[in-house]
Amino acid sequence: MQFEVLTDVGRKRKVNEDSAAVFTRSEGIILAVIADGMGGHRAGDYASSTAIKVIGEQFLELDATGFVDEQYWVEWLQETVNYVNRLLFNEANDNEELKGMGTTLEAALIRGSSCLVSHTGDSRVYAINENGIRQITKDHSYVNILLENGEITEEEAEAHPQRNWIMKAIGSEKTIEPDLYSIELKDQSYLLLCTDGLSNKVNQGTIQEIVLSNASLREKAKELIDLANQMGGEDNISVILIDSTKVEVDDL
Amino acid sequence: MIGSRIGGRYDILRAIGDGGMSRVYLAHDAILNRDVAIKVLHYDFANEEELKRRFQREALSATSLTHPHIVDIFDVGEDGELHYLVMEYVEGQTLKQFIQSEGPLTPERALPIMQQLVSAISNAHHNGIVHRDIKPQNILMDAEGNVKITDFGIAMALSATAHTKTNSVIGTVHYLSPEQARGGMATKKSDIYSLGIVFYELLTGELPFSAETAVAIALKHLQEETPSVRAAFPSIPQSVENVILKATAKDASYRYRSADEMYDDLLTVLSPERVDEEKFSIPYDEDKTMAIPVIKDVPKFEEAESTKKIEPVVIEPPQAPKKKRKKWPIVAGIIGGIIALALLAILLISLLGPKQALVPDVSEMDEAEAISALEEEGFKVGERNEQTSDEIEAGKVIRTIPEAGKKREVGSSIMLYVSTGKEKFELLDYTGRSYETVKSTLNVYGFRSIEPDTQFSDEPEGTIIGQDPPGGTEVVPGETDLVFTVSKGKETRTLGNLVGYNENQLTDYAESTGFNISVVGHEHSDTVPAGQVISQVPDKGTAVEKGGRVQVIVSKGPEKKTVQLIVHRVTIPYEPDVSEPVDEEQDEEGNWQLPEPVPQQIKIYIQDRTRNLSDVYDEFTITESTSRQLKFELEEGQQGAFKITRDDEVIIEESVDYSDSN
Repeated sequence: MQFEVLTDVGRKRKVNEDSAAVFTRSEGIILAVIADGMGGHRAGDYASSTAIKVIGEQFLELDATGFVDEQYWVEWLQETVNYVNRLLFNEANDNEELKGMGTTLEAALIRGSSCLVSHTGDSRVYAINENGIRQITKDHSYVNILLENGEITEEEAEAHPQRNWIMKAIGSEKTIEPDLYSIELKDQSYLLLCTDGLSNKVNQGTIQEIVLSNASLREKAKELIDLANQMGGEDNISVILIDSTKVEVDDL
Repeated sequence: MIGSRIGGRYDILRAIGDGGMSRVYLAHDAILNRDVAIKVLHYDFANEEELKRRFQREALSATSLTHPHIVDIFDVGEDGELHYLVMEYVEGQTLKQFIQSEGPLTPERALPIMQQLVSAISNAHHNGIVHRDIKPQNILMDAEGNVKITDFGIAMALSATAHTKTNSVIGTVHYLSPEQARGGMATKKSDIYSLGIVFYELLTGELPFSAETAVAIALKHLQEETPSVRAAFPSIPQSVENVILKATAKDASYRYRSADEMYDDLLTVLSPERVDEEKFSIPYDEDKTMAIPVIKDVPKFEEAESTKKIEPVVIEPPQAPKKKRKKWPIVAGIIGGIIALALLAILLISLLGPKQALVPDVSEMDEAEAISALEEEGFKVGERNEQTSDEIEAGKVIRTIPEAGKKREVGSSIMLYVSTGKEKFELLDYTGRSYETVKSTLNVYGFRSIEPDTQFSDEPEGTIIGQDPPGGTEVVPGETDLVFTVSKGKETRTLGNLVGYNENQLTDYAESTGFNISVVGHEHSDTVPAGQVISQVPDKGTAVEKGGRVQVIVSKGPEKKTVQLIVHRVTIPYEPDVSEPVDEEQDEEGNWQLPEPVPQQIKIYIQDRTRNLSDVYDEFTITESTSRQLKFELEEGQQGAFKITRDDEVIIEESVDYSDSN
């Protein structure tokens, strides 16, 4: 299992409100988290970095000895995300400067070939292999819901004035119900977590092409970010690229 | 902020309001010595040049609005990082606060408010300005109950190009028209929709569509009929409810054509003749089936499909705690439902195996072609809707619901969306308005070109005096070249030199130039002959408007001066030459006689008004001293003279003054 984490402020912003990290436990379980914060001044930055830091601490300090099957991890992940949400929500309420802050959060918990994804907001998780690229998460965005309801088309969604509206964010409401996905990481496949700074700029076909190229993992991640910047770079761009190809190889 | 001065003149006194992206302060304008409201934007424009320009343009165009029910914008400014609007200060409350404390209102109380609002919006529309965000929070009410609308075009101008991720705010979608919910351009009819929602809220004290999330509300605006106000308040006349139903028709073409039409309707809505009015309904039109109840019947399968496509195995929360149903009912319901139904659907499909087929892609086909393509796959053609499209020409299919590629049971019906061509824009009659303002307003709509054709006219410079295409024409902006005939003010010509012109020449000149030449006086002139122009106002070389007044003074010829007749008596002495020997002679009687005197030749020269010293005035001989009267005609101030020679010798030379007469 190899991974690469890159985050870039982009070409137009002064502050990087994205945060991303991968945490590894001794038993080989890893947690990849990516967050895109929002809120005035530095509140967005604070929201995303705090979310990543807290969830990482919880993960590393966890006593997982009793976790005999996936169900335990599912519960842990749900509870932890809820905990982060409450924490940020309370801070936002108590602190005038942090009022209105929130963050998207993608947390991918990988144990061997099984992967749990907790999803809130409009950052994305993709699974990529030779057969194609698959978007695992559904954006919690205003336009995506209109799109799913057949009220607007893909083209209308791309140009919609409210395309920056998200329907769920960690820390903006008292309780949160993230989406939870369980996926099987097949051999020779990649998992990509990214913020919308990438997905709004680079189409899936191109992402797949880059991820499946012969370059090193780091070069691929770098190329994704460079491409988003070439397309304007109006937003922060963050990428976590995980290569599961080596899973079996290393373990065997 | 409080206590500081911004823009060098506005002293911030206290905060009076707070919006999502702005805060409003009461301030004192130190220069004009008046209270103003200052809206300071919480916006970091630093990275958003385009947004900043757009905001300023919208705000500036709103400054052109002057109406008793529109809050005046005095100034748009920036002070360092601070961007602000200076507005009329209205002491009072927002209409939202008023509704919360006073609502619901009777139609008699609500109508005057609506009339004020609609008249304000009508005024803005006539000026080419669409508000785009009418809501009671943007309406101020003073102590007398007068309402004024604020924030023309500004809120939406800011949201439109923002890249900033935002939590969807419910307050912003309650009054949103279906076309705006879809992300389309807000038009005048979108304002009419929002006015209808405001009317609903005035009469019921409540919002017609409410839900836990912004998108759920937006979906209701798109899919649900406006609820009846008479259901809750049966005493409200049908005619009043009809105003709401007509204003909030989902399809903009069934709404009031203009705010003016809505205003007129409001004027008579309580009149006795309208007591028995029928409930408003969308006229049945075979070609235009209503698009309202979109996929209401099949949302769950729709969702199930898209979920399956992604193929996540969605895990039910383990303890399945009491679902927070009140949050996000639609989506929560959908997601909950999806899982159950997806499983159910899969089960059903595998057990009973109803035949399914993929919805074919019929986009860009002619409608008939599309129908046969769908029927070939075993689908029925369901509702037919019309939509504008920039890409797909009129009469061809834009899309279907369910979309192409979706799996559907054979025999299920597919909704067709047929293009009516590109979105049309109804031009207003812009004559009488400032070209610059109109152009900046219309620029937003993407006309292929907007050009002025300047002409002289009596209208002030920059005023639109004509347009092509004319007002009322529906056009596709991207294919339309708009030409405005713009006044360059009155025609001017350079005024020529009229000095020396006689009456006929003046008449000819006036005819050929269009100047209004008038003779304002006659004066003597020594240099300009009588009947010709001596002087003119304005001077030659001045640019004068066509029809402009030119004043001339005409010569009466040289002045006739007072002439005095001066009589001067002069004695011419006879002085014989004594050196000449005198031949004494005796006369016949022998008396000694003096010799005959020798006559002397006298010449007199006179200089006066008509004569001069080179001309001989009189010539005679004398033999004795002789007295003569010399007559001089002298003009005022003129000096005369005379000269007398005796035998060609000057004996007297004197000047005579005009004043010598006395």
